[in-house]
Parts: sequence; structure tokens; C-alpha cells
Amino acid sequence: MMRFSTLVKHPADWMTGKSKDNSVVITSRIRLARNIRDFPFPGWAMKEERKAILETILPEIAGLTKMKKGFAQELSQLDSLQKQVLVERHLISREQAARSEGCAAVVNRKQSLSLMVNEEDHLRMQSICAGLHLREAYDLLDSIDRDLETKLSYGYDGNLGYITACPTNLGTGMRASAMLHLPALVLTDQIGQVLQAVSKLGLAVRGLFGEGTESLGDLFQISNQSTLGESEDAIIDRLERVIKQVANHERNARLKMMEEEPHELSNKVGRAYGTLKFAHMFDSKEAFTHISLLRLGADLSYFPEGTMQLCDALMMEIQPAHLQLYAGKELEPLKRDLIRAEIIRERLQNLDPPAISNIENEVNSTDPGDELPIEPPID
Amino acid sequence: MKCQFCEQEANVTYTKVVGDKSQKIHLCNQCADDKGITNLENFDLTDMLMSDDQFAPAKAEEHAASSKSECADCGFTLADLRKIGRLGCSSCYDTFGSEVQSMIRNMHKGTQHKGKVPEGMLKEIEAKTKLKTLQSKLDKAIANEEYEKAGKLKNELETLQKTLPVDAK
Ligand SMILES: [Zn+2]
Ligand SMILES: [Zn+2]
Repeated sequence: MMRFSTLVKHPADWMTGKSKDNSVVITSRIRLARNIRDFPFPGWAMKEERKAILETILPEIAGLTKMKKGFAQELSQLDSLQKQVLVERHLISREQAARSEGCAAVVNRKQSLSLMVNEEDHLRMQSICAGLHLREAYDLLDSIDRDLETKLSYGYDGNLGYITACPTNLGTGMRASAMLHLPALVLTDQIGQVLQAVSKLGLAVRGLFGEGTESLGDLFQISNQSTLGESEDAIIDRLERVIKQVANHERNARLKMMEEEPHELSNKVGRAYGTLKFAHMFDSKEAFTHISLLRLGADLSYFPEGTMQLCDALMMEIQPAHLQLYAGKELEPLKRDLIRAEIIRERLQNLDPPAISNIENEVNSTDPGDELPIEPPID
Repeated sequence: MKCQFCEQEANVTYTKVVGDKSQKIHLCNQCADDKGITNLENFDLTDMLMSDDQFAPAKAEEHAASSKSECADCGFTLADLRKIGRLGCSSCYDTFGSEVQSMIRNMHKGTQHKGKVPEGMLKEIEAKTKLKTLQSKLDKAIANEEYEKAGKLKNELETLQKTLPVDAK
């Protein structure tokens, strides 16, 4: 069995995946919600009932071949900081961390699969991977689900599909989502238009927006809104198609910036690098803004291979619970800003300044034959 | 822009876009903290990834009159449903059927499940559907006084019923 300390010492598989292209679509995630017949849903169940649910489900999921040698833990045995760390690693939900009585999480070694007991539903299964691979993420989860359905009697109805605590999850019980890094669409002011188009297709888009339209870290999530009335395949197909289009727009916007405003772009990346490398205090918002630009620079080959993964790991490590775990104690906000900067400096210690050669770029770009066709944004 | 919860200057905007609707909430840092929506110190990368709640379910319509007011299995009431938008147990979906139907219509692409069917459930569902058809044929036969036909149907029905697990009837 994997211990908590081992779990947090290792980054998740999706963060280190060097072979997969995740420069724009950082992760794909599938979540399935299932419930056991004849038990009230966790939010309505009594403490004793929740324990009975746990005793029914936990042995089955911990015994799955795919979860072997993984991390299995009743949340009541973790302190609040440890739970918060799991939340920041996307392994359990905030809601589950808050409740904890009768809750458990089972995570595989690669941290690509996480099964949660007594969250909003009796069982929530999640699979996460790098890049745009919703289909693979689904197939992995589907095989586990098929295994479990022979052992647990799921609540299911011919018309409503899988029964869930909230009617928003009925039917497939599936939420498919991708997290996208869209700095170029933000910098070129196209983001609003693109996201509007996505939302018109019945998909949900979320991002945390600051003043104006830029989001924190230029990160956005696109997911399916409807779970009933369509098959899993249909939902995934539509999502993948739309996400691919958004990713193409981002890529085109990056190329266009490289061609049309190389100096503005290299100036931004260079400043982000300098600030991250030498500043001594960062709140989350500022840190994310600079890391986003560094990540963009990594995709444009200003930095050596592996820099993008470094950025992804940093985004996780500078979250509050991870900071406190690093420091080994609870921290005041001011102290957090200091430690956040310390971690960033430490991580970027050996990262050389961006290799930028705009002069060459300009010579090249005078040849009109090299120009890439830029598609207008979808409407 | 003023914060929607107090009168201070808003410097955080939380936006969710779904379908044609876009919901913007303007908050000051302090209220954002209080609401746990965007504690900047507690950045919501996690929430973005983890939270699956879409728009809070549309309030169950008041006029869904045929629903009973309390679930016999779990004690969940219609008032609870209207308040929290979730249900108490699987049986609640029968108890508050019409209420739920009116919620679902605005929520999903359709009202009929088209996805995966758990193995084992497939047979059961087929049998249940057949049972329903047989029952209505039987009723019709009796109504038409076709007693010979009714007898045959009754036998068929009883045989089928024996194949079903107890709790599926
Ligand atoms: Zn306020
Ligand atoms: Zn009930």
C-alpha cells in the first residue's frame, strides 16, 4: 500500500508525460458518477449508513487490479492539511474533504485514476491524462466500471440511466472535461469570441477572470453540460471536435504573434522569466501570470525541453496546502508569498535565459511564401 | 464596478458560460474570499478541474402537483428537493417523478438515456419492457372478452415473472 508521503513526493503521470503533446490541452479528464441501489445518497445518509456504504464499496475498489499497490485511505484518518493537498492534486473534491466521515479515496500509483467513496454520489471515478485524450481516459474508466458493475448493484433506470444524487448528472453520469492553456488567445483579445462560440454549442466553459477578460494563468476548462439524452460516445466526439478547434486557434494565434509581434512577445516572456527568477514575493495571481508566459515561451522553444512540465509542476506546488506541506507548518499569507517565491526561484535555478533570436525571425518572415494561413475565429 | 455583495470596488469577476447564458458575478477580494469563489490565496485551479457542478439546477417547478410530498424509503421531502436541488435516494426519483421530469427538461439534451447499460441490467430491462407489453395485451384481451387468448397471455406473463430477480418486480 502506498503511503501519503510517497504519494505527495511523486508528481502525477500526466505532469511528467513528455511524449504527449499537452502544450495547449494540458489535461483530459473523465468522471463517472455511480450509486448503489437501496442506500440513500451520501448527502442524505446518516453516519451509520455512510459507513455501511463505505464497507460495501471500499473492498471492491481497493481490490481492483488497476488499483494495486495504490493509495487507499479513509479521509477521517488524514488531517486537514493532508486532505487539502489531495484536493490540490485533483485527487479528491473539496466537498469530500470537508465531510470526511465515511469518505475514502483510492488512487493508483500513477495518479491517473482516483476513486472517491461518499462524495456527492456513492462512487465517483475519475481518470486524468495529459493532452487531448478523452477517449483513452474514458476507456480506462469504462473497463473499471464494467468490472465493478458485476460486484456492486448500481442504481440504474431504463429511462434516466445511472441514478445520481443530483439530476444534473443523470443518464451517463459522465462529465468529460479538458483544461486548456490559452495565453495567445488572451493576449490577442480573441478569447471572449472563442469561448462564446464554444458555449453556444451547449458546452460549459469556465475560467477565473480577473479585471477585463484575462483569466488567472490563462487556464480554461471546457466540459459537457448535458449528461442525459446522448451516449458517452456522442458527448466525447463533440467535445473533442470543439476542443481541437479551440486548440488550433490558440496555435494559430501563437504563430501569428511570433510573426507579427516577435519583440512584444519575447519582451513578455523575458520579463516573466526575470521576475520569476529574481522576485522574493509572489501572490498566487502574479505567480500564475508569469508562469503562464514562461509556459508559452517553452512551447515556442525559447526554453529547453522539459520546461513545460516544470511549469505544470510549479502551478501545483505553489498552491497553499502544498506550500504549507513544503514548509512543514501553517503559514500566514505574507509568509506564503515569500515561500512561494523561494520555491519558484529554486525550481528555476538552472533554467537558462530564453533563447530568443528575433532578428533571424524577421529575415525569415519577409519571405511571403512562409506565411501560414490563419483561419478566422469560429463563430 | 461595485461588488454584488457589499459596496466595495469589485476586482474579481467569476464567469460561467453555459449555452446562451453567461453568468457574471462581480466581487471584491474580501467577499470572494468569504464565498470561497475565488480566494486568490487559495487559487481555484483545483476547483476548475475538480468541480463538476454546472449551473445550480433550475428550481423545481412549483406546479408539479402529482408528486407525493415525502419519499417512503428515505423520508426526503418535496421541500428538501426544492431547497437543495438534489434527491435523497434512488426511490426519490419515483416519488418525485413529475417534479424531476420538469427539472430535467431544461437541463439535458433529452429525457431518455442513450448511453451505457450495465451488463445484467440489459436482460432485466428487456424483461420488464416485455412484461409491460404482455400486461397491456392481457388487459385488452380481458376487456374484449377473449378469454382463451387471455389465458395464454397470463401463462406467458407468469413464466416471465419467475425469471426476474425479486427486487426488480
Ligand atoms: Zn464585497
Ligand atoms: Zn428517497
